[in-house]
Amino acid sequence: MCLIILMEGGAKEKCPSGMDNSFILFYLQALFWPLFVLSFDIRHHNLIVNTLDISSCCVDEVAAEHVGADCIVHYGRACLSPSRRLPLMYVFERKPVVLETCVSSFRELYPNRQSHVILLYDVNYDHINDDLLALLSSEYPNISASTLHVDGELCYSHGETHGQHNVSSSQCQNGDQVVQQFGRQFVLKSGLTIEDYSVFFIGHEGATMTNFMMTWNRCSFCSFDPVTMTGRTESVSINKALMKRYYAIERAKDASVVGILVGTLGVANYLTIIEQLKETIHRAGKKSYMFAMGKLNVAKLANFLEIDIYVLIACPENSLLDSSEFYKPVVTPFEMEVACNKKREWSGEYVTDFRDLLPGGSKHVALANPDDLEDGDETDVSLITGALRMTRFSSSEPVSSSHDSSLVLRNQALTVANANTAATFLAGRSWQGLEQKLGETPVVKALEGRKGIAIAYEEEPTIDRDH
Amino acid sequence: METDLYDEFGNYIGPELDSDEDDDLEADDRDVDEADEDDEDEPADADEDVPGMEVVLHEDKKYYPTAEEVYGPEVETLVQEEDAQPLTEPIIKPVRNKQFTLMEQELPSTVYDMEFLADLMDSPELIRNVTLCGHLHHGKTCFVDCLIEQTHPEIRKRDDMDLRYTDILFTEQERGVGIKSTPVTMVLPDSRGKSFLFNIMDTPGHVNFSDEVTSGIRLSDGIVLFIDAAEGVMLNTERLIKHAVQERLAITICINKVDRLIVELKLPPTDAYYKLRHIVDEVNAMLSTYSTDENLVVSPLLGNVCFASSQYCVCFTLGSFAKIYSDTYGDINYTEFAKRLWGDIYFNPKTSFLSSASTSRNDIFPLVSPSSRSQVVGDCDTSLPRVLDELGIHLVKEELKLNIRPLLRLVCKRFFGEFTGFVDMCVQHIPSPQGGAKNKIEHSYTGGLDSDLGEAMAECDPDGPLMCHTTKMYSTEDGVQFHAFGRVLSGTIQAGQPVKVLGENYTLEDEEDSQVCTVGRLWINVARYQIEVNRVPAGNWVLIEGCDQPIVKTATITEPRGNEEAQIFRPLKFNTASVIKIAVEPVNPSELPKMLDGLRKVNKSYPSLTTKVEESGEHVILGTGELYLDCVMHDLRKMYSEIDIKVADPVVTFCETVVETSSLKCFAETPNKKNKITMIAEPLEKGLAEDIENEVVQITWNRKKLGEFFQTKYDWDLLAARSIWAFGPDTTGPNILVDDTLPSEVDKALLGSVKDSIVQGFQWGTREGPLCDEPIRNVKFKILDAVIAQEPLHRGGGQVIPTARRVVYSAFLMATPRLMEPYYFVEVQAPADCVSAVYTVLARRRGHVTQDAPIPGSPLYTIKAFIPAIDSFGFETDLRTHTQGQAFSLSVFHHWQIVPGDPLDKSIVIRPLEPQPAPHLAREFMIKTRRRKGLSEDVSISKFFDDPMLLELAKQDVVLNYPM
Repeated sequence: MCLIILMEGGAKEKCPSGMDNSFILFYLQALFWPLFVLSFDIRHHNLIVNTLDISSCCVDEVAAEHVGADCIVHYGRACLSPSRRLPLMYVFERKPVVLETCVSSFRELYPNRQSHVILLYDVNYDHINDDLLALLSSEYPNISASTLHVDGELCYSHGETHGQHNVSSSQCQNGDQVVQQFGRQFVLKSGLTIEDYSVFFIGHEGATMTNFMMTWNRCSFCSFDPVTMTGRTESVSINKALMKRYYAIERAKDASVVGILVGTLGVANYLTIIEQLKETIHRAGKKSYMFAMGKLNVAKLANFLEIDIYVLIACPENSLLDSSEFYKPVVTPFEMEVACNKKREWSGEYVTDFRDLLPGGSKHVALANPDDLEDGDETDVSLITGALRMTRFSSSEPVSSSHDSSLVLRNQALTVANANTAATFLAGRSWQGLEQKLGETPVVKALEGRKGIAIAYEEEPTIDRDH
Repeated sequence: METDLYDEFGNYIGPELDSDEDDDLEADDRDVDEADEDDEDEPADADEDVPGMEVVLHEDKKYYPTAEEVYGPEVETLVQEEDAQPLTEPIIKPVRNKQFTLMEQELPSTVYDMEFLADLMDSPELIRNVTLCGHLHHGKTCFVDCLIEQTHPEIRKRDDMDLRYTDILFTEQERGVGIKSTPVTMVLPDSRGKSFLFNIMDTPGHVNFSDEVTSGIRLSDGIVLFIDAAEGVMLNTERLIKHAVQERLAITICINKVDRLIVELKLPPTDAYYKLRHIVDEVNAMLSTYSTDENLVVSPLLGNVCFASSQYCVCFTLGSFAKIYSDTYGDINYTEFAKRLWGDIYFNPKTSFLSSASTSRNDIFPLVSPSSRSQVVGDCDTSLPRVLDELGIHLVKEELKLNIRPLLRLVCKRFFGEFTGFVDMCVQHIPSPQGGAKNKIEHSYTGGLDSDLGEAMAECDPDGPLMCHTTKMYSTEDGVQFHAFGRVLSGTIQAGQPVKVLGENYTLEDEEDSQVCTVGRLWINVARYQIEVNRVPAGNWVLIEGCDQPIVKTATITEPRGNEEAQIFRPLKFNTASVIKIAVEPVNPSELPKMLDGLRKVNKSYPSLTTKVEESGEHVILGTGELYLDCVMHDLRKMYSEIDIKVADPVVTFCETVVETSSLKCFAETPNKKNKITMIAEPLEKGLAEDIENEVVQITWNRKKLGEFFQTKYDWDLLAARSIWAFGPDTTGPNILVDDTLPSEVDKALLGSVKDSIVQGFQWGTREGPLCDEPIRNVKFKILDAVIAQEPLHRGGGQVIPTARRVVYSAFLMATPRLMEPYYFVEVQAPADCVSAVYTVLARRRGHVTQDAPIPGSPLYTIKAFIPAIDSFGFETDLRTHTQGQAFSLSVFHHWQIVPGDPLDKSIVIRPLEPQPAPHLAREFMIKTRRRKGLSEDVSISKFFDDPMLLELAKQDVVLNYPM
């Protein structure tokens, strides 16, 4: 029997403790044998373990399909976004936490014993959940601890029994409410909403925490960083971060050409959101182009000067990109929707997970019906430049498409000017694509080219490429 | 109902009923229905109670049907137990009429016929478009009041209250200061009785509202500058002279409040003469500094200076005064006589001849002086009749019993009559719309003048294509809508006509900023009332309904078809800068859309206001000063949005600059390692930044002209002067990018191919500096070297733009970066004993005095000083407190100055709630700005340097006091 496993998420860095012996073996192999493909035979199984050393929080299903994996082991940092194609196992690190300092900083931050607090953990600190709860729950009766709850039928986290997946009803018997989001699950007392709770996050500040803070931006946040062993209140920066996103929305309103960046091929429903965004953007009278890019960087995006703004489709943690370094801002699907969908208004609530925006999602808002908009042209003043901007809400069917021909009836009063801005942009570019140079290049015989994939062509020695 | 089946309580006592299930249910249903309709239908309960006669526990008893039974299972019912609305709030509120302006209920009667006024609109040579401007409280509004009183017999001021007819807003009346410029149109006769149509713009005198003056000036052909005879030339007077010269307007002077010289300062006639002469000389001195035109001189002899006292309804020029003389004494050639009323010519009482060697000066106001003096001392009973008799003024008894001031006013009015002197002055020295059109268009129109359209406008042709320039938006009484106010330059605008509105960003190439609208009604605006007209021909001012929506600040209104060549009129160029910044936020976050709408409206209402969202996501309002922003906030809260709004503490905009040349050449490689750009930064020459901002030099000039400018004025060498690439962050930005590479070292053709990308990177970089995302200012970036890839593929914008920006930043940081803050110029008037207190207050706010001098002929001192804008909040109040309200100050943005201290010095610890010593200020400002914007606490310098660059730094052993 042959089993192919894709191990990803920076598995090289460290071997996890408390794991199955055989897994440790794989990990050790992976650690000291940094080949891309390594195959060996243990206990009658023909195992093939692939490692990817990009430390990503998402599961790369596409890479898994490239190597024909049968299952994926995701190691380390994870955003727990569901994937649909392959069985998946999460393996988390067990990073050390000094429980005493954690508890004492908790006491410091929440002097009121009756406070309603939700405990959230970075995935790598999840192991202290029980110990911490044991220490705190006697003093704080209203504490609610989160447990990891991996969404999706084929996903497992290490140490989790299959039976746990069955908790799906959001209403428990006693009226308590179960909230499941971002792979976390916690219980809210009946009659209370999440706004009544404050959140205590254990982990470093980073994308994970920002994501929580943005989503539950009405809650007060405190965090404890196990590395620096300090706890602090986070509330000030959260508003700032939110307001910065508001600025992004204003930029999105100003933009007329939008680039849709596909930053994930793993998160479920990413195709649906692309379609929805295209429709939304089109209805708002803007143009959209789609870009599939691996890792984003400044230079890549700055190559497309025509694009006024980018929308990044990625997992919740990666969506919130600080785009101040980028030549053109990068916004999230939610922000684009606020900018384009007249029915959605900025109220301070924020959605990082694009799946909530889809039909059926908790935050879905349907597009305004084009017939309802009595006025096609509406004027608005841009809050960025102070100039006037026209928001045209075109109907779903482009009206002109059927008549779009270069022949126009001659008219005395009007002159035909096919102002095509896209074409003028192209004309202004210094590099307009490969040049044909017909007749300028000498005729030569066809030669056999390279074979294989770009990371290692067949005639290239493979070893050199490792480091 | 059979009564014997029931007992007296309505209980059923009859024979047992058969209890069929279905029946019961139906009965139940029916009962419920009945119970709902008819409360008295008691037997309903009986039905159920009786069958079992069983004991029912209290808890289980059911007296009324449940809501579900009544309305069915699908209906959700809610019981509201308390009133959600307080009792004090009426359920149906009375209709509230919002009103913010004083308006006449109906058209007031005028001494001329309204029809006549409308007819005059068709003769441009009989029209004068004039802006009245001047320093605060120099009597512009009062002067207009006099004109109003002369033309509107029913409008009279109440005894001791000024009419302030053009202060139409309630806030203006309450504050006692003009906020908006207000147009008044009326027919006035000159000294020969010929009628002219006067379009007069009464503008605010407070420097914070200079933008209003600018919008008025744009529509006018000339200004009348008001100067208080006692105070003389003040801060705003000087600024207005400069502004009018820049805008190429005819300048006339009105020396107002001449009565103050006599009544208040009690100057003898000779000194009064010198005082007036001093003012005229001062104005002429300023005119010669700001203008290159040597013929631009004002003098009473030329007739472009008039004297007035709005309080006593007096206004005359030498000419009109001489005419009164000749009318009284007969047979004098008054034009010749007028020439002798000013200057070193004396009146010899013995010989009755004017000679230059006589002893007593012929005071130009023989009337005002004796009569007012006698009034002041109070012996009016004895001396007044005699004086009046002499002058041939006859008053009835009742009039003589008036109080002193109204009496004097009356006397003066009788003697001087109407303001024909003022009319003469305007008619002679301010061109008609026809005569001034060419000058106006040359200055304000972006298109060419030699086209048909240009000619039509230059001729002020009412039959030409419609061109109308609007510069102001007036909100309606209730603050819901806006009307655009402008001047028709050619053609005729008709009510109900479709027009095309071109915005400020419209160009022939990019036609996006234009919209077709339909004009609603048209009016001629006379402050508190409006005369509706159906057409307005070229040369006139007009208030337009219905096309406000696409207009942000100014607009060009033209015909929707057939006038494709029309270009726009330049947006206004203000003589102040909006440097004070406040961040606003609705108290209730859900009211954000309301606030946005309000912001949009105040933005329309105030010409130089900027509202925007900053990168931090804050809604920011930028204004010229405290009073300005206070008025804006009033309008925002009360007039336009009626919501509670939170305001952050005011702050100012900062700039980032350098003070030295970069300590080494900074380079950066593109991510693909195929291109390398090397730059250094150095400060610009003094004055150059201002020249760029004021468009003294423009990047659009051809290379030769540009080169010559820099060579001659700033001593640049030929090579550098010819290779200026760009100004940044935009075409009027105060930074320069220079290509300083040598053709022998660098392939110029290759470099040229990435010029656009480098310029974009430079502009991006200068827009948001590395210190705290504020714009860079006063820095010259020199490209010293560039290695550019051969293949176009490898030198795309994506590679070059971010790299260029990085080099700009690293060069900037290596050149001793500093922060700049705006400085106010302050002018304080205070009595001598308060001067020291003014010094103290200024010193406490980092201000310093540049000049303090007594005002000639008055007990007051003028103190001129500079004060940092960030420390100027509350300065005026502070000053008044320390001087018992005797000092009066005005402040206006003047220049940018470097904040003391190194913003990147990490050894400085900023302690909260403590004033920082001067060398720590730059650091403090930078860190606080960064915090406000949600940036990281400190600048991470290493981010902008490549690894090889850092190595280079180490190698060169550059002393960097900043840890990387």
